[in-house]
Amino acid sequence: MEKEIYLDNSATTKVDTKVAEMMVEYMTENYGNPSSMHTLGQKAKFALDDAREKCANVINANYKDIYFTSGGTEADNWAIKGVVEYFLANKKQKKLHIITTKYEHSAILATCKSLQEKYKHHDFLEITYIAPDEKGYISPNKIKEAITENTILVSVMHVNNEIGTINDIAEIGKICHAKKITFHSDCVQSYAKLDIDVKKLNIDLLSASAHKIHGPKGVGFLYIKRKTPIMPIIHGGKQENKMRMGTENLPGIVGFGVAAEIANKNKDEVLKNISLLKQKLYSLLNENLTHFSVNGDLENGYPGILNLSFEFVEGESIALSLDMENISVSTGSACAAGAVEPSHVLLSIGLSKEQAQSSIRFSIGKYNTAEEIEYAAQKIIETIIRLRKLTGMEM
Amino acid sequence: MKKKVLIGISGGVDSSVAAYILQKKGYEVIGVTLDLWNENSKEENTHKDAVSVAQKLGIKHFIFDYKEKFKKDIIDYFIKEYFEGNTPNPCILCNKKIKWEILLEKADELGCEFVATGHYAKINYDKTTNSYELIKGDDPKKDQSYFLYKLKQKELSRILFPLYEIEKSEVREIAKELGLVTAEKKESMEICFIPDNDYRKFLLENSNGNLIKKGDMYNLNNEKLKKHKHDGFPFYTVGQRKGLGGGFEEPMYVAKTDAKTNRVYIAKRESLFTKEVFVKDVTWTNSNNDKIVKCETKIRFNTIEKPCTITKIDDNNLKIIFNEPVFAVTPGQSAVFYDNGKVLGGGIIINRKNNE
Repeated sequence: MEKEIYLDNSATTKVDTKVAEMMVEYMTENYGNPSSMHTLGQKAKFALDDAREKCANVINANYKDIYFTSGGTEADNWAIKGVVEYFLANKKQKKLHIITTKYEHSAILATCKSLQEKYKHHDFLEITYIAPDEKGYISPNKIKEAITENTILVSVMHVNNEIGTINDIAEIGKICHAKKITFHSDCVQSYAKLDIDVKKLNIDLLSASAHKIHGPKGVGFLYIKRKTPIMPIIHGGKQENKMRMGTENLPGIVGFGVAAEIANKNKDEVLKNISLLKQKLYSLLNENLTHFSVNGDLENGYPGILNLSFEFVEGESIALSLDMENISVSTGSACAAGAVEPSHVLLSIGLSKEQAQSSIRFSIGKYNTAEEIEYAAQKIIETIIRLRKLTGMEM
Repeated sequence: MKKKVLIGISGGVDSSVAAYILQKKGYEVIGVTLDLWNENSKEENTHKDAVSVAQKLGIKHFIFDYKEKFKKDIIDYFIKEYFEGNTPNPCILCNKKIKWEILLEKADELGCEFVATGHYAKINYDKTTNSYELIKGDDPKKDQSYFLYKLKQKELSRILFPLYEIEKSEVREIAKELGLVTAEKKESMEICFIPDNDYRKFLLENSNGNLIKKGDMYNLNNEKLKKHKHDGFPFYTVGQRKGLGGGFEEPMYVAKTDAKTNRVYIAKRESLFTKEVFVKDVTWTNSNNDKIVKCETKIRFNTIEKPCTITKIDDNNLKIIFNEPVFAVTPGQSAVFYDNGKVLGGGIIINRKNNE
């Protein structure tokens, strides 16, 4: 097979060789259980906290405030359910109100929906879903206006995974801090890619995932600022300071630590590179194609994501055709081919069902090169022209 | 550059080997699996066998979810037909409305010139008429041309049936040699969405609001048979002998059913022979075929086609007059016209009295 061109780095990334090597070491040599008291166990314990520190440094957090999870989804589940459970257990108030957005990752939305379903017969949980504007920004003002005396939690993602819009979480954090409301941000798409300082940004809870930054799948963390009202949702032994029990996924965590360190060190350089690649991709397409539009904010969005809607063609057809050329991209979001439900993110920024279904997300990462982008652009152009001919729309 | 062919892979032996043959012949093969049905309709099927075959062959493979369309176009049609007193053949409709339609659409999208399946039949290109012919497979036991009669020139010109070129025993040999997981898999004969083959149970559980009530049996003189009751007309098919209860002087068969009155008519075997058969939704593999008068017709799968004369009523309807009477003509089944092994076209058998 020819070379693969991977333009789906928001879905997952290739594991850095340095990360993989370190992980192997913690599976085959230093395979101890961090909870064991013997030397092998203590070695593992040291590696665990070393990784914790590496992950914490990226966001200027205290290393003790990092709690490893099985990934971003678990971290998101924990942030929402853990805070609700805390308030239920402590009976501090009769009604609970959560504010989130319409275009959060399904890890947040499905968790909120499940809580609403679970407590539908009790009238104490209310959830407000704020709509983004047409470029995909969540207005801090709208958050402010939605706050009630019952609001216990605000959850707003930093970078949207489909369209790349970067939210003003500093402002939202400030608002929440002033009102003493817990602020959670899903930073799965921005962690170790953009500058995040949890102290400056007033973030109480932050979700991150390893596999978006060239680390392994199946590991993430929830940052929990000291004294944040939250309870564990997974129970067992004494691990993670009795906040997230179960033997730690040490190889994964060690890999996460290395990946976070590398990503953080090269952050600016990588960001500059992928910005150039995105500009290149966009201008090549723009010079050769018409009737397409950018979803999100082309100038100020996260440079690793370019989401486009091509009129008259389906995103799924484009993605499959590009796959035939060994170019990996994704439609709105990863879902089963065939039963293409329009992306809730694209609908939330005002796209019609048709526009949403004709969208493609290119996500660029540190391993992509200018040659790859040129080749991919050529193939994208050919594909769009061919598919438009099929529908009788030649342009 | 290699010619691209999109092949439907079910995970079964036939389609797996068909993909292998195409690959050997130098095509760039792309596999497609249609996710059509699941007992729990919301669940995704893993299609593990199909994926494994694709991996083994090293071909690209995509799974498309068409469960909703399949439910609407095939399963609901199947149920509706039964409750109208017909005996539908969902595979024929699925071939047309689901398989070929989607395969060709996807082939266009993916830039594939050809589409293929593991069906056993043959396609001939006739130079003199510049047209494609659908031909019966040599082995009558394996021939699947009956299920393919709705194909037209547009489709036939792009379809490949690679299995036609090898013996069935070879198919399993190749599959074994390849170590395909499907080599030992039994062939599926039943309707895919009724895996236990119990269509009565299926209708009871999926009646779509229709009622199944016990009713009376009648003879062909419209006389009610006092001693005999039936379980509900959808459970009876023309020609059926089993399940009518005992107490008859000689073997009795279902002659017809009436959905409106919930009656089941039974008769002796000789009363079920007829020469005249009416057919609707007629299509032709080649538009010139509609001029044919003398041909042979197969009125159900697994029977032999019989000589007949056909008379057009209009573009969609025609009448078949068999040279010799045929047994148990069943509304809902397809009548397929052949000329010396060549499929001319076909249509769906109707009960004339209900459609006059």
